[in-house]
Amino acid sequence: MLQRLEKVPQGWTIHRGVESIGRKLMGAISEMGRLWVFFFDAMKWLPRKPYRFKEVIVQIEFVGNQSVFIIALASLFTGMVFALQIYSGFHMVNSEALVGPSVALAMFRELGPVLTGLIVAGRAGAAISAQIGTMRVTEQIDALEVMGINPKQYLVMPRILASMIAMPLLVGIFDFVGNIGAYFVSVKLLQIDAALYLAKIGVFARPRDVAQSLIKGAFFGLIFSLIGTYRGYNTENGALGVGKSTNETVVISSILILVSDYFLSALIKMFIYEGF
Amino acid sequence: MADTELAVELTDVVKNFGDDANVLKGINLKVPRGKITVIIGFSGAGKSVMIKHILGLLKPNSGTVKIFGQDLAQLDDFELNETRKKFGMLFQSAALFDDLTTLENVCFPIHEFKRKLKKPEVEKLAMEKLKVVGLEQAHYNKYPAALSGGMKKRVGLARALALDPDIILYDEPTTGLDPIITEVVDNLIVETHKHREGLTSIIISHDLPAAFRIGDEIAMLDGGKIRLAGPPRVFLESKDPFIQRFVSKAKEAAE
Repeated sequence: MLQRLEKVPQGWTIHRGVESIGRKLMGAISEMGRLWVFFFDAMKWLPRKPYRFKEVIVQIEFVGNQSVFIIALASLFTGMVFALQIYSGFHMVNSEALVGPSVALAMFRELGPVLTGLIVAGRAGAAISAQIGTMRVTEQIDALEVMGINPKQYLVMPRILASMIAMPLLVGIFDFVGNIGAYFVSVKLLQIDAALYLAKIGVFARPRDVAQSLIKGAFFGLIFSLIGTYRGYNTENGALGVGKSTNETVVISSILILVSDYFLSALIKMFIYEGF
Repeated sequence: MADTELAVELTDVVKNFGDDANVLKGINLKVPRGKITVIIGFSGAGKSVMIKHILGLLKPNSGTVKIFGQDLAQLDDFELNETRKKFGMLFQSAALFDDLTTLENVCFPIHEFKRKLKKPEVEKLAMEKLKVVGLEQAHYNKYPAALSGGMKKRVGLARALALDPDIILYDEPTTGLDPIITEVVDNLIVETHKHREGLTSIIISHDLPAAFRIGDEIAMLDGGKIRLAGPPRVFLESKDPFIQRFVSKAKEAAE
């Protein structure tokens, strides 16, 4: 390490800098490749006996059920504050009636899936990574393998599948509760006409917006569960490694959720909205 | 010796991990069926890498691994998974599932592979195995965190035996245990071996005195190669100064 540091100032040229960026980029790309190989390796066990119904259900309970309260709470206040803030702007141009559809569209298209993704990645993604990582460093994964129970079938596949099933459900709850929060603030506190509020949502928000919400939710579920299981599965160096895996899972999942959200939105716009 | 007489056969197994030097440098090992074979190796000799080859968890760069005459290289992932059911393994750390109790740990493999059995039947089978390894009933409902090192080994062994494997692997069974428990575990290995006809036991260890005490066959792994293999007397008669040194140490320890 010391030797390397000494060498740098002497031979430092621009092409070295470029080289190191290139190396990092290549590293990231090949890591991406390994991630997908890992995914397909786990998913090829899906149609194999024994089917892991029980594990999938247990994981849906963990990822989904146990997140309901925190998701409902977060979305209630997101909806409320969103309505409050947007009202002050719309009020100036006399378009209070558009508060409803603005909140609804923002919730369906972006806030619902993205915020749910970030919250559940922090909660369930981290837990998935820590649990599988601990099993790795205490040889429990090796024990499964030796028993002839494939750990990808037993541990990885159910978690990914469960996350992809539970996430759209959670996003649905987020969207619904968020809109209730916004309705409450707009109609009860800010005195917007209830019928107008609801009618305008009906005019602007379409089923395809809800569909977009759910599709994104499932995709973000794939992201954090895949990264959580992959990082956990490849944990090294004991307790320190488990901490590192957990940390990386949350950071990488969060960033990937935000970045992929843009591209996913663009894709959905192309296919579902037909050039709209 | 016919092929089927051999439980495990490694021929010229070479393994390296990317740019590193070879970890295994052409291993030739024959483990006879129905005997206790002790593989002696010191840290960094490639013991755990070799076990992973025997279990088919790693693939050699060259050479063949045969289990009961079946070449592992010809099997796909799903078939390898099946082959592993022939093995039971006791891990160094026992590797018990820490979210399951003692009894549930032993029930787990039985429940996984004998799905037609009802819960009481599975538990009955598991209790039989726990009795074989001499664990008292008082500990059946404890979680692994509440068990001592020696007890964890017993539970790990009961779990390894749960499916009546043909081959049982012990990875450093006595490392980190005090001398009295070490002897208990050694005796447990011998008793377990006698308990079932035709069971092949493979013990990976660096405890040479124990190897002489319990091994029918001994193989010494050194620097990624098998230095010497055969019954204990081959080691006693060896002229190799490296081996003589260890044999004399083992004799001292025995006296």
